[in-house]
Amino acid sequence: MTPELLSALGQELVEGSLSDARVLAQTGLEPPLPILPQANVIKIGGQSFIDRGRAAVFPLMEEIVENLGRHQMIIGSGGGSRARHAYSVGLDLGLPTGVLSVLGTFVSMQNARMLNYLLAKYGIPFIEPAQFAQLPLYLAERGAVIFFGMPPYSFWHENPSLGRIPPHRTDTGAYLVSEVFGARSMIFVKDEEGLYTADPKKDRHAKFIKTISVAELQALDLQDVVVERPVLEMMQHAKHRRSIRVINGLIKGNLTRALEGEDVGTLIYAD
Amino acid sequence: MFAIGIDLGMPAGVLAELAQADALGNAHMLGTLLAPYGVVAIPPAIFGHLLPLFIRTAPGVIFTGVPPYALWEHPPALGRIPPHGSDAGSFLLAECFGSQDLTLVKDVDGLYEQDPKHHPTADFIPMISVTELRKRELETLPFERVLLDLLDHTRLLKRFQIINGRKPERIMRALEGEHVGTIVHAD
Repeated sequence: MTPELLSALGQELVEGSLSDARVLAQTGLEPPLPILPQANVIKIGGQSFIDRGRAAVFPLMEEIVENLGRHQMIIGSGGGSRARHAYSVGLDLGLPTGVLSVLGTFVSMQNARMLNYLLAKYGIPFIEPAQFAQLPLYLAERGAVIFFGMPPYSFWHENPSLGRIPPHRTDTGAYLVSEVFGARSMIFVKDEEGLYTADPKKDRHAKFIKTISVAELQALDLQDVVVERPVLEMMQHAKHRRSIRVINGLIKGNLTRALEGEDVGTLIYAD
Repeated sequence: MFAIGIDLGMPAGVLAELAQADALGNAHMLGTLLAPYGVVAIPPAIFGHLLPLFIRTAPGVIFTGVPPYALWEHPPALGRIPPHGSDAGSFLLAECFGSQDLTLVKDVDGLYEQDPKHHPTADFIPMISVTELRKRELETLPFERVLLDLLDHTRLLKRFQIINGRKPERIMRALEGEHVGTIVHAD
């Protein structure tokens, strides 16, 4: 490639080292393009929501349908108790993190397929990671798409610092979709009002937290956090999606409020 | 690819997705050259599942070094270059499969106090731990920085070796377990 075809940055990248902080800093001078700035990413909890069955899922599906045409929705699915069970069997058999992540993926995929069939009569497709190139078409034509929340790392999943459960699961996968597309929201649909100082199911003195920064949350050093911790870390490096919302999807109207930009549930943001 | 991608406003996840194609192209070239020996490039989608079969039936196998993070690449702390490149992809696979060793074949003898391409008198570092390497705060490394973080959490693969592939006799020696480059190891 002749030098004239390379920009100044191109020259740096070809001649310099990608481990050089000086070179890396230059790649961050401009913010990246928001690819789908009107899209909302909604992650429906596995254990917290889908595992509850039709009592929880059917009304939420109705609410999603009500918002078709008003808000673009990229809907990711959690795993849940079946994933926990699969992990426990895998751990007992001595399987490494990468293999466990494949097991978790199957469960989140099963949930996504079921949501797909529930919304099929509205023409809402399910897409695998390999089909994300078609996502813009489906979103434009149908107003919503469904995907499985697990990121596609499979055997390449990083080890956790402690234990062997894959650290980057369905909250993280859904969050990364919202960040890479520059979506206008990342809404985690769970079965609690939002973030608490402890798991409200286990500790009745747990206090609700309405709004908090990632730095403040990390300083609290809570035992239990309502979203996977990597989401909080990644938000601090994000170029677009620097806040997330956690809502109680069991309350009819909460999802709509969140889509409308109202302050429902908990807002967690990176400074 | 990165330069034009960044210029067009592509985020890190998109750059990671596109980087896979470059690695795949290289894998195909190697596969073509080694085809007479039965060593071919396996498509990423089926690679992991069938690796145990391939290494029994062929003398070796080629894979796309860049891992399938794609749009799900982690936002980098600095800039926009995807942190998990082909060094990281190779490392993660070696760790998951509990490989005997990981050898990164580069165009330098190993790690130096400074980039030897710009500082020809820089001191060579034959072996170093992750903690020691972090302390030295070297400006550049001949491998992706994320490997240091990955080494912090490995359960099986405790070290990797960087060797100079332009001295190809070192490849065989590295596979035999010899120290012919720089070994970076977990603490």
